[in-house]
Order: sequence, then C-alpha cells, then structure tokens
Amino acid sequence: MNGGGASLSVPVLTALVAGAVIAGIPLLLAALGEMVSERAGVLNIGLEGMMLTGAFTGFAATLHWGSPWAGFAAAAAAGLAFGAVMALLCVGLNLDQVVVGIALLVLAQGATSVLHRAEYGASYPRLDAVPGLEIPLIAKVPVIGAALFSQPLVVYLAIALAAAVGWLLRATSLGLELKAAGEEPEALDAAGVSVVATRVFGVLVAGTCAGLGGGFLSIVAAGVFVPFMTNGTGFIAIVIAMLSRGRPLWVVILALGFGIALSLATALQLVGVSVPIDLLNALPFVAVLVALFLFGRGKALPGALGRPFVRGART
Amino acid sequence: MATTRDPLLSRGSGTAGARAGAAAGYPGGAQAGAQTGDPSAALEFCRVGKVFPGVAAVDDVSLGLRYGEIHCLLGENGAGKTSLLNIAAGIYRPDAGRVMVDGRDVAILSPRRARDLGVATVRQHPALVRSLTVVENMMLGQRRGVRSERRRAAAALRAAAARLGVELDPGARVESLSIARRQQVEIARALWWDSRIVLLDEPTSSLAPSEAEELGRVLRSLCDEGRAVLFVTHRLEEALDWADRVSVMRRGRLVATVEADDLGRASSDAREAARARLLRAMFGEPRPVTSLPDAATDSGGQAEPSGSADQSGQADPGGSADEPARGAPIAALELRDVWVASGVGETGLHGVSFLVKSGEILGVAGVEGAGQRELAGVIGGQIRPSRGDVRVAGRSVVSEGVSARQVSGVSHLSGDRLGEGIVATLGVAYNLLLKRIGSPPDWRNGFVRRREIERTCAGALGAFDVSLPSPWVAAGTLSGGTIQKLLLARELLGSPRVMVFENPTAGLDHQTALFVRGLIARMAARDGVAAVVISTDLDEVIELGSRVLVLVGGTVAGEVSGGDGAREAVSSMMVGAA
Ligand SMILES: Nc1ncnc2c1ncn2[C@@H]1O[C@H](COP(=O)(O)OP(=O)(O)OP(=O)(O)O)[C@@H](O)[C@H]1O
Ligand SMILES: [Mg+2]
Repeated sequence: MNGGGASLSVPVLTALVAGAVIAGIPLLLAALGEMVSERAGVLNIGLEGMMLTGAFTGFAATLHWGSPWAGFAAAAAAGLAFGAVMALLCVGLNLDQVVVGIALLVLAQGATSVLHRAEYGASYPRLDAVPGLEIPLIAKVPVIGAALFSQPLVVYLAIALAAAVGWLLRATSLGLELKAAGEEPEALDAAGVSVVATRVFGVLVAGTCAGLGGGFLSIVAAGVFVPFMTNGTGFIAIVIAMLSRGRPLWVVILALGFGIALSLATALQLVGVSVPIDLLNALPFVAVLVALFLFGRGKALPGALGRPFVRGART
Repeated sequence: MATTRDPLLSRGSGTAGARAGAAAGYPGGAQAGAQTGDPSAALEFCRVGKVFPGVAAVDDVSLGLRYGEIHCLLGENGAGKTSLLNIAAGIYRPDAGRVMVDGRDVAILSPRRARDLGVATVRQHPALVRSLTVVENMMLGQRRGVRSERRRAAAALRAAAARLGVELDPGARVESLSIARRQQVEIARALWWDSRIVLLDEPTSSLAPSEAEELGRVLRSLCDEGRAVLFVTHRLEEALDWADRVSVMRRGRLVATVEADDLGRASSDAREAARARLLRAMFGEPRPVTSLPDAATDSGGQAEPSGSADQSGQADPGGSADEPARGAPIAALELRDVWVASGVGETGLHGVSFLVKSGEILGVAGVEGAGQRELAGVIGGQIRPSRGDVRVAGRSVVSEGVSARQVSGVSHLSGDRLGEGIVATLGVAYNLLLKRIGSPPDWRNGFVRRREIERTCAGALGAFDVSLPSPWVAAGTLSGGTIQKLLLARELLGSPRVMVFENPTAGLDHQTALFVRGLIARMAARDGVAAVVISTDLDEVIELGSRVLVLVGGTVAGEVSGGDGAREAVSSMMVGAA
C-alpha cells in the first residue's frame, strides 16, 4: 500500500464511512436475527438464502408499488415465511438443522435467479435512490456528519432494532427463555415453558431480520436485484452472531467493521491504489478469519445449539 | 376432611403471593392420610404401563397418593420409580392406564400441564439451566418483564429457602452450585409454584445427614399444610421415619404398599420386622451372602493398614510402592499444604494436608460444600492447586492432568455422573471402556473387537447385578443407579492404586450400596489400594474409614479415628465450626 496518503481526502473518507454503513446494515440485520435464533438453539445455515429471498421480494415489491416501505414490508414477510418453513422442518419435525439450512439456501438461490430472469431478464430495471434523512446540526459535522447522519431512515431503524433486541434478551423473561432453550431445553421444558414455541420464535425472528437485511441490500444499497447478490454476507452474519453471543452492541460494532472491509474496495479504487480487484473482494473474508482468531477463541456456543429437543429422551 | 376441591386452592397460579392464601386453605394435618373412609385422593395411577425397547419400565401400576400424606416409593435400581414419576410429571406418556388428579381423569401431556394441575417434580438430576442464576431459573415461564419480576422472585426464593432451612443465594449461577444445592433450588421453586402435589426423586441421595433431616422436616411441613408428597429414596430409615405409607416397586410392578400402622413405629422389634418386610419386597428373597465379595462382611475400617499392603501376586502397577511397604509403609497418597482459591459458590481448600497409606481408607466427612469437590478434583487432576503438592507413592503428580494421573494409578469416581461421568449417547460397552479405547484386548490394530468387548463388559458388570437389554444400549437410557454401577465398574477396570470416591453409593439401592462398600473395603485390604472416601453419608464414612477427616469450609477441622463415639465426634465437629 503506497501512495494515496495525499489523496485520502475528506470526500473519500466520507464515502468510505458512508459505504461502510450501507454495507454493514444488511449484516447487522441478519446477524441480529441469527443471534436470537442461535440463542434459542437453532443454527440457521440458510441465512444467506433468506437474505436473497428478501432482496428479491423487496426489489419486486418496491418496483411494483413504487414505495421502499412496501418493499421492506414484503422483504420482511418473505423472510418470515421462509423462517416458518425452516421452523416447521427443524423445530417441528426435528430434522437436522445443517442439512435443512443448506437445502433452503440452495433452493433460495435457484428460485430467485430463475424468477429474476423470468421477470426482469429483459429490462433490468433500477430503483430510485432512497433519499437520506438529514439529522439537523450533526449532519453538518465533516465526514462523520455526512456519512452517518444523512442516511435513509431505515438505517436508524435498524440500529434501534438492535437496541430493542438487546432489551428483549436482557430484560424480559422471554430473553431468559430463549437462552434456556439454547443451553438446556430440558430444564426449560421442566419449568413449564414450551421449547418448541420458544425456538420457533427464534427462527422466525431470524427469518424476518434476514429478509429485511436482504431487502436493504437490493432497495437501498444496490437499487437493483442481481442473482447471488448477497455474495457471502449471510455467512459473515453467522460469524458475527457467533462472536457477539447475545450482545447486540457487538453486532453493531462488528457489522460496521465488516462494512468497512466490504466498502474498502470501492474506496481504495477511488483513491487510486492499484490492488488487484480479486484481492479486495477477498478482504471481508480475510477479516472474518482475523476476527475469529482474535475474538472467537474461548467463545462457547449455546450448549444445545443444533441439537433437536425430544422430551423424555435420555440421550 | 376431604375438602380437596377447596376453591382457595389456587390451581398452579404460580405466583408467590398466592402461596400464603392457598396454604391457609389446606385442610387437615398429617392424619388425613392415615384415616380410613373417604381418602382425599390427590394423584392416582390406575393400571399405568410404560414400555421401552427391551424393558417394561412401568408395568400395570396402581397407586394412590392422598392429600396430607407423605408417601415413600422404594425399589431397587431400575425398578421403574423414576419412570413412574416422569409419567406424572408429563415427561413420559403412559402406554396404558390412566392418571387422575383430584379424582379427574387427566392427560398430563407436558410439564406445563403438570405444573398447572399443581404437580411439581424435583428430578433426580436437577433440571435447571446451569448458565443462568438461581433467580433467573425461578423466573422461567413468568410472563412479565424481568426487572420487576427479579425482585419478586428473589423474595419468594428467600422465603422458600427459609422454610427449607437452607441458604440460597438468588444471584449465584447454578453451575457454581453443588448438586445438593441445585436440588434445594428445585424444591424452593415447587414451593413458589404452590404445587399441591410434590414428587421428589431421590432428594436425599446427595444430602448430608443433617441436611436430609432438615428435608424430612420440610416434607412434613408440606404435608401438614395439606399437600401430598411422594418421594423416592434408597434409604430405608427415611422410609420408616418420614413416610405415612410406603410403596415398593420391583421390575416395573408395584409389589407392596405398607400402611402407617405397619411401619413399626411402636417398638424396635416391630421396626425390624418392617425393615425386613420392605427389604423382602424390594429384592425378593434375601440374596445369599456368598454372592457378595468376601470382604463385604468384615468392615474395611478394621483393615490393618501396613500388614496387608505388601502381598505379592497382585497386579499392582509399578513395584515402587511395594518395596518400602515392608519397612515403614510409604504414603500412597500425600497432600501437602494444598490450597485452592475459593470462587463463586466454591469453598476452595485452605491448607489441607494428609497422608493415606496403601491399604488404608481415609473417610472425609463434612456438610455439603465444605470443599469436597475441590478435594476430589485436586486428587483426580481436574483442579490444579494454587499452592502445595500432591504426591502419589512419593512422586509429585501435581503438574499432571487427569489422564497422566490415571497412568500414575489415580482413579476418581466423580460425583457428577451425567456431566463428568458418561457419554449419554454412547453404548454402555464403550462407556465402560472409555478410558482405554483403542487398547488391547478390546481393540486390535485399531479395529473394534465386539466379542472381546462384550466379554469384558459382562465380566466387569457381572458382579454388579446389572441387567441390560444389550451392552450396546445408550448409557443415557439407564436408570440413575445403574449409571453409578457402570462408573464404578469402569474405575475398577484400571486396577488403580489410589482411588477417590465422591459419594460412592449415592443413588444405589440398599443391596448394591452394601456391595460397593464391601468392594471398597476389599480393594483396600486385599489389593492395597489407598482409598479416599468422600461422602455426605456419615455412616458410610465411619464404617469404611479407619480415620475420618472432617472438612469445614475448606479446611481440615479435625481427624477422628474409627470406633465407638466416632459418629458423635464427627458430627459435632461438622456442626461445631459450621
Ligand atoms: N427414556 C428411556 N429410554 C430407554 N429406557 C428407559 C428410559 N427411561 C427408563 N428406561 C428404562 O426403564 C427402566 C426403569 O428405569 P427407571 O429410571 O425408572 O428406574 P429407577 O427405579 O428410577 O432406578 P434408580 O433407582 O436406579 O434411579 C430401566 O431399565 C431403564 O433403563
Ligand atoms: Mg431413578
């Protein structure tokens, strides 16, 4: 990395931070949901598929109704429906979570690609940019103001959602029950709480959040839908969920951190640093490995993560 | 008398406030159960059956539990007691028969339903979330915000704990608590739920005598309030002392129910007769004594420590221990000024030193949580002391981990059977050989030899009178006592020279407990094993140990040599400084 020092100007920095936020929000949303689901003991490998579904549905709905809010509602609904399928298979029928997750991922990838081709393959429509919401006064602060405080409203709502999830996990008995369902479902059952209902709730939250994250990707970040556009973000979100272990603040921090890694490619190109593009695209995944190495050690996952619950089974 | 459908009895409302009001509404006292006429039927099993692959766990059992009585359920290991309780708890669905609560035919399809019907179960292995605190466990299933509920739950917990006569820290994480403490939490929770029917599965198996007595009083007060209490135990004395009626199960069937009048409260002769009658019901005709190992009859406490150690022909690993044994016997196990830091809910050890010669049994007594777990862990290798030395046959092993210590001849029977003891999904045979997987004769060139394994398994378990559908059934499906037998058999396979037993007979039925004590005595007397028996069962410690060390708060409060008056000396030491 040489040169560029002089050209790291205010506009570039602003673009970098703003890009990081835009790239980080889908991660943030998906990881929040995954965290709730993992907490309840269900590992959602199909998260990426749910994001893709949300991205496609959100795009189509925005195009149809002309409103991004309709798009977000549709994306959330699609994620919820996908989550319901996963809940039925993994919690209702106790099928293996990893197998179901992979199957659903592949299904979503195929279905969204086929549908996209059938509907928009000829025209390649684009969405209008979602206008930013300038927060008075602080939006004027250089770099930070322009990058952080003139974003679309959904960005702020996503951060608020993180706070809400934090409150849910910490301050409600439902939060305790989610944890119990993931750590020791037998004990939760003995306490008279339905393990199935608790886990289904977790899976549905994950589906909805992932759908929203995908919707953000197509409606706000890209303005288009492209097959396979999630490009691994679902898996990064799983890593974030694992690393943050029930602390939404960490989800926010890590999501924005990975957002930087994702948007660095664009920023560096703007600056004019010549790094092979493939190398830049690999950056987020290198960051995943670094993050796992730095923070992932000694992190115990929920004791019953991935284990189906069968009442009275002694094994 | 039988006002069991009193509207005041809040049906599993689960609120702390309801408790006092409901308690006031209970009828009668303890006599209700003993009275003839219209019994106040609380819980009734009618011809209930439950079959598992290869076993009829519960077979055509009819049993009625009345309000205001303490009912005791006895039976050998694997008799089906836990299965019967699980049916009432909504964990197992019966294959046959009906369950009635308050005279109504109810389908208890889930623990939630059981709780709503007023049936609380304290399980053999406490069902609490270990990573949550005590009070958070109490709050599961309470549909309110945690913040307000936390205070109410903590208050309710303190009140319940006070009634139990125990001290429970609402903020302690369950994983930092001993098994006995966890059981107490579950009982407290049943009180909070105001359950009118309380079922307890072996509640006293891991309690010290004083704690058990306390529990007996608690059960009595529950039943004085008009609640119905059913408890499972392996201690006959508790059955005779506490219960209004005693039922006995054997191989899935209910074989006897003894009324209060026949429990021998009148005279000691009558009591002996009642004992004999219950034993006969539990085990059939008395097992011939010859099937027990020879040392079982002469108590191990009297074994001469020095003389018996240097027998030749024993498969004692490493001859170094034998040689000096001819002169002044070298200590097989020595702890020198061992310190373990105390942590959350842990007492730690504070400068513990002692010697155990080979062939000697050292008993360690103390109330629950006096540092027993730490002591066992330090010897077994799970816990590394912050200071001090652990020596086996004169060699320091303090830096060795668990497996290295096993090679050094140290074996440890953990008190936490399900956690540290077995791999629940693995077959019995593999669990038995867990510590020597891959080694001959059961493995050859990396291949499993099922025949050999079956033979080893049969040999190791034969003495314990374990009947299994097959040696390949998952160990987790076994009954609590059978798992304990399996663990004992496994530790014995390694021909150790230092053994630490944590509550070796907890959860074992009467016969098997006798057998195991005999076995420990024999291993010391004949094979020269140095044994440390850590137990909350005072009688066991005194019977086995030639010396008894009393732990109080992580320090050695004193040492008592066996013989007359030992029991009094030990118990006063335990309580005196506690
Ligand atoms: N979930 C299960 N799956 C398979 N077998 C089971 C299951 N539950 C119980 N059994 C079998 O049923 C029989 C009775 O077991 P149970 O646990 O009721 O005995 P118990 O009387 O409680 O014995 P203990 O005194 O040792 O606790 C045993 O043979 C056990 O292996
Ligand atoms: Mg049992």
